[in-house]
Amino acid sequence: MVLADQLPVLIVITPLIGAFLAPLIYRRHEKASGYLVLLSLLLSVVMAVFLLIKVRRDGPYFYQMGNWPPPWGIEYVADPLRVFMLLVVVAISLWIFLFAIEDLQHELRRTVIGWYYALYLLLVASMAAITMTNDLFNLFVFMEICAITSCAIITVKEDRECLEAGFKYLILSAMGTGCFLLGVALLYMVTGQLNFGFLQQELTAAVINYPLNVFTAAALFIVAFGTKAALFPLHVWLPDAHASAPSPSSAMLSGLVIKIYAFSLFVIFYRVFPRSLLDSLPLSEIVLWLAAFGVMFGSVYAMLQTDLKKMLAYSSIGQIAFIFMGIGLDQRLALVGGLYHIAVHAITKAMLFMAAGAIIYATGVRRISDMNGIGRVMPLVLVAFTVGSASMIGIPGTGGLISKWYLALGALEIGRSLFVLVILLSSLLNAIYYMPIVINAFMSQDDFACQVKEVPKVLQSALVIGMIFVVITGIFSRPLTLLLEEAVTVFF
Amino acid sequence: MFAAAPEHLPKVYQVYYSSTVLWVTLVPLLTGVGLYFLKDSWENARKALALIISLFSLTGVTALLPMVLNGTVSFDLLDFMQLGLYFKVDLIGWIFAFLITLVWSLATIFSFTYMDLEHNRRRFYSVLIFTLGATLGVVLAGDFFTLFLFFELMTLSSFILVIHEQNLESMKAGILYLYLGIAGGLALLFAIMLLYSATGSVAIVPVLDQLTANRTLIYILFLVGFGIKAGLVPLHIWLPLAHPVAPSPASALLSGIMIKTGAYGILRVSLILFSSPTESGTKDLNYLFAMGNALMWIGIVTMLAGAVMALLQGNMKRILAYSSVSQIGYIATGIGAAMFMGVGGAMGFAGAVYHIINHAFFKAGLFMMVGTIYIYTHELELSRLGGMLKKMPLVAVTFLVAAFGIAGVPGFNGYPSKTLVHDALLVAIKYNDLISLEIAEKIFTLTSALTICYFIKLFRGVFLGPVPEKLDRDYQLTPSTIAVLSSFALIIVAIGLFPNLILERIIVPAAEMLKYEGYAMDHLYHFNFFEWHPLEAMIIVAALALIIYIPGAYRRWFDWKPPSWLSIYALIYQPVTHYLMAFTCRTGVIVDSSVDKAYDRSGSIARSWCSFIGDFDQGLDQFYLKWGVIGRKLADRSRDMDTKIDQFYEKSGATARKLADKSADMDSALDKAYLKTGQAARKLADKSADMDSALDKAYLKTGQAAQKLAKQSNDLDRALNVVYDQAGQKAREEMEKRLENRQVKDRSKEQSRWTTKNLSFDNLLLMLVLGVVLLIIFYFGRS
Repeated sequence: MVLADQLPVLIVITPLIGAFLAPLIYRRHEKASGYLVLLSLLLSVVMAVFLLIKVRRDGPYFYQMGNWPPPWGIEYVADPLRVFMLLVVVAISLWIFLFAIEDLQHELRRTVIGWYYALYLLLVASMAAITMTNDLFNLFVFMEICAITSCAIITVKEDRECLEAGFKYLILSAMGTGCFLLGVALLYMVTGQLNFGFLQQELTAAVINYPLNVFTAAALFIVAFGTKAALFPLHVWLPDAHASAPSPSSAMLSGLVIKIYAFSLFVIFYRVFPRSLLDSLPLSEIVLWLAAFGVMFGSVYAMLQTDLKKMLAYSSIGQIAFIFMGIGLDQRLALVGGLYHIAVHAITKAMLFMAAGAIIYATGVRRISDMNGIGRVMPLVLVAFTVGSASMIGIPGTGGLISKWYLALGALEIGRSLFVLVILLSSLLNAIYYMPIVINAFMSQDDFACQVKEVPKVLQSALVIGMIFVVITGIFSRPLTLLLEEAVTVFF
Repeated sequence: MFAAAPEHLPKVYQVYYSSTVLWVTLVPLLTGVGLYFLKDSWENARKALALIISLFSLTGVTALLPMVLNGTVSFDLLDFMQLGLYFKVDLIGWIFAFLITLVWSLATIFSFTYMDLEHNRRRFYSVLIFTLGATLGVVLAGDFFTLFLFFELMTLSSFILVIHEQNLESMKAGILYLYLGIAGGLALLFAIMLLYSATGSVAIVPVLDQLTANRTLIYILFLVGFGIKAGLVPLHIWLPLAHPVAPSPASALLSGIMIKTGAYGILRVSLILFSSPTESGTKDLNYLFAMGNALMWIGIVTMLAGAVMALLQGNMKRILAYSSVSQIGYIATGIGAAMFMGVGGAMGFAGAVYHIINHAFFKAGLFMMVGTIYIYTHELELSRLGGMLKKMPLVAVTFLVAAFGIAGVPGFNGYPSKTLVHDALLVAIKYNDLISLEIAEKIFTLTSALTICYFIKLFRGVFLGPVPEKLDRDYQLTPSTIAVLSSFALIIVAIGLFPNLILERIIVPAAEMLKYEGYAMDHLYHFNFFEWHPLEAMIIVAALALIIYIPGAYRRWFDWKPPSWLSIYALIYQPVTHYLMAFTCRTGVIVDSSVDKAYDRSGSIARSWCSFIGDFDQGLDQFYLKWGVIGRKLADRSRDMDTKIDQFYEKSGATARKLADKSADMDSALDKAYLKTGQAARKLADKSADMDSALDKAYLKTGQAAQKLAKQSNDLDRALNVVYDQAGQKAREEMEKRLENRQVKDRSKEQSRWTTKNLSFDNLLLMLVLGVVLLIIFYFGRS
């Protein structure tokens, strides 16, 4: 089928078209514009599902833009890993938008909502492209789009805190992209290639002839993606940005945007760098140790927070480090764990931010200590929060356990039990800061003091969907992990 | 030795496949959730449903018995939660499952009366039934992963039972229980992961031969994970806090049943996982001896510490809770003895399992009896109770029966199991002539005596003496309470009178499954509890108890309150948690403050940079000005040059004309001289004259063109001049604007210091990290 071959580019283009139409339509028909966004996201999801089926059936394939073969043209890859990530991106974007369509009415001025729709779709399109692209420069272009749009969906709220956080994010993000571009240039200098496949072939020789360039590029990449994905010492922008943004933006940023960069680093490690480079340089080791520190410090910082969204944001720093740990351990099972955690944490953290958003919407309470007894007045929201917390801690029946299980097995397989200890300790720390919220929300003797508004049905249903997702990833994890296990086998 | 008893040859075990196992677990779990959504007012429906479900599980488990006696029953759900849910029931698991369902049914009936006085009944029944499913799952699980899942589920749901009262005390106890439970769960998970990565499976089968380096770590982690739940010293601290605060039916289940899941885990790990399918070598035997000895000593310490602490308590439920700690010590001792005796450990195994069964009955019964008293008196302190013998004779009688059971009086159920554990120690002494074992045996006897002491104290405090005025009224027990309490008493007496029934029917087949042999096994087949030797030990214990109790009671030793700093909580947990928290917070604060400092410093750096940029701007301004002047001078000079070129062209035109005149003169002279040379020459001359005139014209034209050019370049000069002037003006304006901007910026910086500060720090940090990463990569890349 001809159309089926065009799927990779169609998935990127659909939201792009939506992004141009949405603000136009919004001027006349506000509702219709929202439905248009939903429709374009839904179309992307459907196409991504088809793509997954196709890739599972026919094997991976390359899509060449405008039929220009690789050294000249841009190439997109559809292999199980990329399509897995793509599906995570579009499906979760669709789900978060369900939440956003209602929540934005209360968080933003009416006039900017149309622009928000456009930004949202642009962000989705850029992320979808990043997952599939097989070209370094194309990656750079979409990273820029992604960075600018994600900054814009923070500052769209127009209060002082958001502007400050957004500005900080923009600058650091630009620094990150700068590092990346410099790295790309250095590699291009010695290989003359931008396509991943060609680059990998050329690099084997280039490492020997021009070690300086390649080493510097590797360092630049680690720092670039570390900054953008908030790897431990480079995380300074994240808590403010994620905590002050409107709730759907927080969910999007914490749930998907930081993962995209972690995924890109993974792709660069295994698709661009030849195996010999990974074996001879301590690249994985650097990422691993940074991740281990991130896991611990993210949890410790989160423990010290008093603001609910700030706590969730700090928790993201710890959780993103799990994904980096999967990359850093450089072992098949650990990699599966890290990649699985992308999906798990995307769902869980997005749901937690939505729950926090619903709490703030209904009561205006942000302080954790003010939330005693809140579970009795808004049970559904807090049950969702409980399920999310359980997944963060890694209680059986939720996805968090599965990814930790794989990560720990991977670490044990190469004899590094220390990192298993780190993983388990952070689970305990997570329990220490998530559990009291849940317990006090339901079991506290005090009654909840503030006035409570009714939570709209749409928000509630989004939370229910989230809970179902979390439990599915926890209980019926086997098909997905099998897919991932199969997919990562090629790297080892 | 086998030849002597041919009827006990190992039989072939069959494997049955039955979904009953799943339903027995799943139905309570699902109904438990469903019960929560029943209306508050449907009180009776809720009670009935809870009872039906617990009876359903009881029937289901009982129905498994014929199959379990001949082999194992298994059922698996592939792909459920990664490794699949796998149930496998053998006789050991069945014993636990039966115990759980039986006691649970009795507790459910008991809670009908008890809970009528409590709040939040909907939640209680829902969680009660849910926990039944989770607890059953633990003992029916066929592999450690499934076991772990249900274990966590049980921890979480029983947490809600613990904090049922929701007052400060129960919340504190509950949260301690939850944290320790989660920590235990994580220890368990770590152990299971290590096991899985070492052997590639999580099945509960003998794997000692396959484990190598970190088998001790695995064993310790398992011991910690299960030991927290079981309440082994020093992991027991949550138990005396959590058990008393729960409602009595829940305390009965926590103490009677749920701590047994910990014992069950220890049993499985010690006696099955850490054994080898074939006859193992001496090295492994030594290893098993070391581990078993350690476990046995943990058990001995636990039983003594629990008994001493129980003796010093003044609260009924706390006495019982500490008593549970002490009794778990007996069980751990039995398991430890069985482990270090290897294939000869039948006696310890039988003692441990038997004591698990017995303890479930008498401790659950005792908690419910105490609960009955609490229902009517709302008192738990011994000092404020008394004389209940007259008020509630039935409770007094059943209490006495249960107390006889726990004290090990012959004819009641504690006696056979304690005898077996004691005999296991004696057998161990017989085979290993160690002084430590002798000491252990003495401590065992002492603890049994202390057990009698604290029960005398408890009985005297509650049932004897004068009735306090406040409580002097008539009490009417409900039929359900009477039924439950008397059935406990009946079970205790029945086991006590016919101890061999359970031993031969169930425990010996279970021991056969573990391939025990040797003297202890032979002895077990025909064990006679009512001969002089075990009775003698019991009499010694009773005598010792009297020796301790009479002076103790007279001198009020038992009212002594140990100082709070002596408790394990104050000695170990508080400092550990305190320093741990202090450490994490301090590192957090240090990192934070250094970040702050970096912000400050980088802020000042940024400000100096800004002023530098300002200076640079001014320099640029002057630079532009100078260039304007130079530009004008340049333009002047180019105009001079143009006029000079103009003059030069004019001069060359004049010389050309002179040249032409001269050549005309020469022509006429030539004409005169060569007149005679003919027509052709003249024609030639004419032609050259034409050419001359053409040249002349050409010269003229070039002259004009040069003039025009000069004029144009003049215009250009002027235009350039204007442009330069304008550029200078603009640059000056720009500069002024920038200066203004900078002033505005300075002002805005005063208002919002964050812009430059945050920015520069982050970038510095980024550069720093980049530098470090580069350094590492290059350091390793050199070779």
